[in-house]
Amino acid sequence: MTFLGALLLASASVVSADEKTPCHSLSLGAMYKGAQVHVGLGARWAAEARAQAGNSGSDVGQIDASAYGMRLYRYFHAPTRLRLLMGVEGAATRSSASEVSYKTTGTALGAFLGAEVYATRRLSFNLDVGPYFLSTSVKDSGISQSGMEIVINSSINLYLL
Amino acid sequence: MKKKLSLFLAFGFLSLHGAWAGVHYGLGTAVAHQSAVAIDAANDAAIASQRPVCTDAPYTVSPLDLTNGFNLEPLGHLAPYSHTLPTEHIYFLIVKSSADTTSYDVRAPADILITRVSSSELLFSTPTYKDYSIYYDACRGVNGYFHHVLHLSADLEAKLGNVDRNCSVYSDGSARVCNTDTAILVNAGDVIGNTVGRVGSNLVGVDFGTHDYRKAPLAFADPSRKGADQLHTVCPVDYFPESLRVQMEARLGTYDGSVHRTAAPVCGEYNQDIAGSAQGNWYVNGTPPGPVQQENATLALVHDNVDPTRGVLSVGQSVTASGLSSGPYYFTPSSMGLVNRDFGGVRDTDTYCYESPGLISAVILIQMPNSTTLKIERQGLASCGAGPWSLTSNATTFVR
Repeated sequence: MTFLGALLLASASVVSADEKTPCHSLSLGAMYKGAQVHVGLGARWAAEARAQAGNSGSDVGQIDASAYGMRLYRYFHAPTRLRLLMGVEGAATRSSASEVSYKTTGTALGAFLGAEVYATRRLSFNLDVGPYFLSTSVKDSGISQSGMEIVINSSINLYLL
Repeated sequence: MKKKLSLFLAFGFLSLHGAWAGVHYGLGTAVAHQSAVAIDAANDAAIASQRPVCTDAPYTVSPLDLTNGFNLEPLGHLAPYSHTLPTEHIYFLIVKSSADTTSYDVRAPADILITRVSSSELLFSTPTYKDYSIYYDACRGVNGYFHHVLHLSADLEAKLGNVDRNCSVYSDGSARVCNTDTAILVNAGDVIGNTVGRVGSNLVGVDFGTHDYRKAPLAFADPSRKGADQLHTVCPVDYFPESLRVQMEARLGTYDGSVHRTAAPVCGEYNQDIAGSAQGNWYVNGTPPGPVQQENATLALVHDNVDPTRGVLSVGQSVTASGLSSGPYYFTPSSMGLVNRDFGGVRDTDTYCYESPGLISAVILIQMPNSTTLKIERQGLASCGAGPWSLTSNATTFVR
């Protein structure tokens, strides 16, 4: 939380720099254990396809999970070096246990607030946070789990256009 | 711009506030975390479903060798303030000399699946004293436990590995408790641990409890004060074949075997609540909602677990305003009147008076303003006399 606040405040100091308009139409991005393709839909809207992996310990060994989703972004203003943003995400999820045969499928729905900071015209960093509703079912068991989680996302983006 | 930044930071703060289940870096990690919880639940359910269907007598081996002379104390033992409320387990006990350090094996009463082992270390003892609780599934729907196992068997210890995991220390610093979840199959009759007489103690034994989810939950006046297992408490003795059950029932009574319980049910009663009357368990006003683990702020108005013709006011540590010390206060109940009235007959708003040999120049008054509230107060009277009596502002209020 402290890190998030410090980054945003530091970023705010560069927003007034008078720079050439950053690229914002098409980017490829990398995030923690994942990748994304980001498409600008005009100056203040964007869509993004993304895939991300993750893992966690359990009583039956490591659980490997993946999420494949779409994001819709709404920027608070036209492209500048710092863009505050909000958006929603929907994703299909699945996971499997590494040592036994359990598998899960599920969905994730979330909303987020964040910021995108351009280091150059084509290179930017994105950080956002928000509540996600996750629902997971274990195949062939009748067991399901759902609940709210807070998810922090960050990514580095290379704009091609 | 500043307004938008403030909005953003406020959103971030609210999102990270403690009302949420957890904070995760990346959606993949969040999904993995939730999947792990779901898979653990599925695995637990799968293990439980593989347990054999229960028979009428799932226990086949006495956990402690009855030929050693063990006495069994029935359900409903009182020892305030740690056991202010009637206990949910029976006891296997032997009276010994204070120097006797004989060891007694504790055996699996059936083919069991050990699901958890807990250690409890009393930090105020010198030296500190540590023993174990062993929890198990006996068959589908029936589980049980042993408390005060002094040593785990070498085989069980080897399978468990380090048991000092998931530890916490009581808020008063008096004990350190660790819990290890496991899934270890043990055959009926296998030694799972032992209990050993301590120098200076005149008793040795273990607690033995059983829960049966095939049976309807016990009808406590306030079931929310009990955990799921507690609501399904049964007498372990009833789960042995007749030949063993008869031997065990003959030993049910006081810790030293001097008095045997003959009144039905001979295994005692864990739930003695009678809704609408004073009889049963009470919780000091202001007790947080949910199951009560520590019984120091409770009160039980019940009957003795060996001689149920005796009434008992089992008082914890919360009747301090009137100076009533923690302890069991026994009396002979009356079926009528306002003095030493059997708790089951206290159903109105009258004030009732109790005399007990445990009280020196004092009596105990109780009154029920309504069916779920009870007031209790110690007053410095030599005896109850004929009354009437009035409670003062020193009375302590209990609810259920």
